[in-house]
Amino acid sequence: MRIAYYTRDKLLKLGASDVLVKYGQVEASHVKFSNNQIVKTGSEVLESLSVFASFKGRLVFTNLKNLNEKSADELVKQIGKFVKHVPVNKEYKGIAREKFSYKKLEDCYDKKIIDLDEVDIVRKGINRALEKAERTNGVFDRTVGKALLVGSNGVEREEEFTGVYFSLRSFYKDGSGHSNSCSRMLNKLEVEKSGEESGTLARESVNPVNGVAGKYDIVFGTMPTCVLVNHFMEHASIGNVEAGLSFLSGKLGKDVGKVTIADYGNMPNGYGSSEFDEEGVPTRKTNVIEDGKLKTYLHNTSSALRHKTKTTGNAGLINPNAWNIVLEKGKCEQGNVEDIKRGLYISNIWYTRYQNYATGDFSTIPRDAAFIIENGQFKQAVKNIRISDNMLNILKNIDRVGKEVKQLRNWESDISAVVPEILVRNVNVSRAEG
Amino acid sequence: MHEDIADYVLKLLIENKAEYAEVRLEHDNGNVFSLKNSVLEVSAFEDTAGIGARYLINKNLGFLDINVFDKDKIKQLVEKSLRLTKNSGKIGEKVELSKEDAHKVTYSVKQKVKIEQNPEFKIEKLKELDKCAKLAKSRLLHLSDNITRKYFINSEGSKIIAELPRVNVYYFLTVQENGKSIQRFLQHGYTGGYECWKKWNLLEQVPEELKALKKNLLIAKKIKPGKMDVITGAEVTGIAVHESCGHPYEADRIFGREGAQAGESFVKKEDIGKRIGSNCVTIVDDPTLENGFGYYLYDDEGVKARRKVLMKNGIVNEFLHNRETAATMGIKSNGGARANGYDKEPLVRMSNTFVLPGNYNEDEIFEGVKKGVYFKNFMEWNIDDKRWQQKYVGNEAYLIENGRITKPVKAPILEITTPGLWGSVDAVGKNMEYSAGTCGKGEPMQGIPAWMGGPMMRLRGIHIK
Repeated sequence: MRIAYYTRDKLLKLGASDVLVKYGQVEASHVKFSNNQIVKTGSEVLESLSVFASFKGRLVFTNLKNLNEKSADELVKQIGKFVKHVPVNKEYKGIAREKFSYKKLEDCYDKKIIDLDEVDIVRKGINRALEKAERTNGVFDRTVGKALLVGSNGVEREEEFTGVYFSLRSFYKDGSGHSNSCSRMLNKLEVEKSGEESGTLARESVNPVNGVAGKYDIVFGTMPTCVLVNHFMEHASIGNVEAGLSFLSGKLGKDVGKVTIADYGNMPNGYGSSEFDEEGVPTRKTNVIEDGKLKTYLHNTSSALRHKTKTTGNAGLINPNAWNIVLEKGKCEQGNVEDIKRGLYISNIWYTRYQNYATGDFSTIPRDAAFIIENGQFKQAVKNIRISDNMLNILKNIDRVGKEVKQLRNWESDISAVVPEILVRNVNVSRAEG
Repeated sequence: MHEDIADYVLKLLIENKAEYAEVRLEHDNGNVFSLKNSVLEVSAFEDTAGIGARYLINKNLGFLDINVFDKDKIKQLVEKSLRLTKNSGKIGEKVELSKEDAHKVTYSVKQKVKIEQNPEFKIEKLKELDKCAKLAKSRLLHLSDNITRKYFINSEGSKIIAELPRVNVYYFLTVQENGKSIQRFLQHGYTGGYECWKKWNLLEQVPEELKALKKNLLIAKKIKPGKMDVITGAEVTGIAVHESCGHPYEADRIFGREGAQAGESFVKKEDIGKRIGSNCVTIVDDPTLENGFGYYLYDDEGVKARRKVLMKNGIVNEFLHNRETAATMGIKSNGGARANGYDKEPLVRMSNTFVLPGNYNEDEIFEGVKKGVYFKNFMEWNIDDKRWQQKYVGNEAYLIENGRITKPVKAPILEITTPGLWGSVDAVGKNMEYSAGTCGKGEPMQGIPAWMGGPMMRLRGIHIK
């Protein structure tokens, strides 16, 4: 890891005004299963060194391929040539310069993850699902690594991390269900629970009928809620606001609903937790939406200075990003649909796309188990429907939040989230005709 | 390039009794530039290299990847990987691969205007594009290029060396007027050098598009829902081909291997010969299409690439295969295995997928429409994970009355099943156009460069909202 210090010092000698060098090391394994059998194993060893430098506002992002001093010398020469051709970014306001103190993350490193029996974990998940389902597909991932950040701002901080992720989709006749779990600690990974949840959903969603277009009150399970909060946070990144790609643009200080949604960068056992952001700022808990009011966008130091505010510890040097998204739990019992006259329960969604990011007009497709709710009771499973609405309306119309939360990821949402079920009123549902 | 290390990995796997082994060494040099509202936000260059290896032991499939070119570390990783794969045999699938010819070949794609230029050349291109897009209040422009050098060897004697240069541009533009807004996204990609810039003709096309969007934003109205004809522009034809013909014909989906995430398919293996589209629709996937964004001559299993006719005159003709799915069907692979980097396993993927041209010129297609909507391009789209029901929302779109465009239509919605869409095509144009996409599949996610396109098409009696 000395190479990180060496590269930083060489860049400073070259005349860089800001430098951040991040060394990363990952050792990982991966198991993919399909139709109840393991179809592939994966084993991985990667090392990386990412480099950012500013020469009085002339910015360069790059990496070092071979982690030795000779290659670093060559890279520094190359950077020197490259920046001469790059214009000054007048919107760049520098990196954090305070002296920071850090607190070690709780429950984010588990030695048991270094050496475990991946096949046994997968087998347990499959077997539990098969108590209800006919077929299972999914993955198990194990990651062990370390990261070191050194900067011209005095940051020199190293952290070790572990993580495990299990995702299982079950099929029973024409029904299907999906559940997943992610954790930094092995004993908090819910393998068998995921198997049971997905198997149960598959079993209960057989013989679905074609849905009918219209307005529905929709209970979103934790999987689709994870996707939705990812979209809320993506649109809260100042980078997207500036690019005209956010329905939260112009909403700062205004009411955008009733709920509280936070980014919790140093959350104990948070799958995305890190002690520090990409410029060395200690991560923290930030209420982005608090009791329905949009309190802040996600910032790094440069964007915060541009917008006369403070960094939220979410660098991303280009686009600030959330680490772990937390939707504050409510008081509602899971599965409570008593006051829903015409509704749907949606257990998963995919393929969320926008007609207009600035207005939030979008659609997304329910997949896996979905059910019709009538007069406070679950009825028939349903298929072939699409949620075609507006993301700001969805956020504003969250009327009830469950009291049981779960940490999970979703395939099309990068950031892990701790979320409960939510009830969203008056959602527009469409369906294909012809 | 570390070919000696790749050879060493293959040797190790064979010595450890792998029944089959293949090694891909990849070296990638790239540049990325991004301009946000006229400010150069990203100026990056990257240089990465690594090795990915795939093997069968006791007929169980293992994969490993490493970017540390140290023999001791590689040996440790190989040993660890073999232990895991052998252990997976307790509940592992017995994998068969189709028998294929071994190839010893070197190929590359020529660049007329070299990628290896100083950054100013590329930044200037983005600035020109930004300047001509000033009608848009918000502008996010992205330009990237890379040269990938691959060295593929396997235990059957193949040695394939390839050099593939690629250029990629996309833009997000937001037009605002009187409190309303409309957005435009488009991606272009090319395998070759910067000669693509002239071919894309962005400096003329983008201002024209923005002018039309601005005008339409103020006067376009929603259409009264009902049945009418539809004319799809090349971009809409392309996305429909990719989503509802290319993806459901991926044989790994059909056999359920991608069921957890990317999904399965409404198409079943018995469906070869079944009619899904009208007689005038023929759809192909062709990695050998010169300069296509998804171009290659040998896939990532070392199989020689060829054109695949997926739908022939409306009938399911063949699927996209790798060696595993081909073996399952007792046939040879048609060269559809691709990985987006050394650190990923090859999956069954599309390359350049398009509708073959028909006999109609543009005027003839419009002439036959009494009432309809012309979807020139689109923004929002999606499709379910079996590729059965899809939605495309028009962006620049117009009402057609008695064969002529009469007025703009605000965000018309085509929400239809796959047989409904392809079965209603009654005319296919002559002029081909392609746009680019980064197609996602697999877990971990692999985004790969793909082209999608075709000519204008006319669809009869479609419910439009």
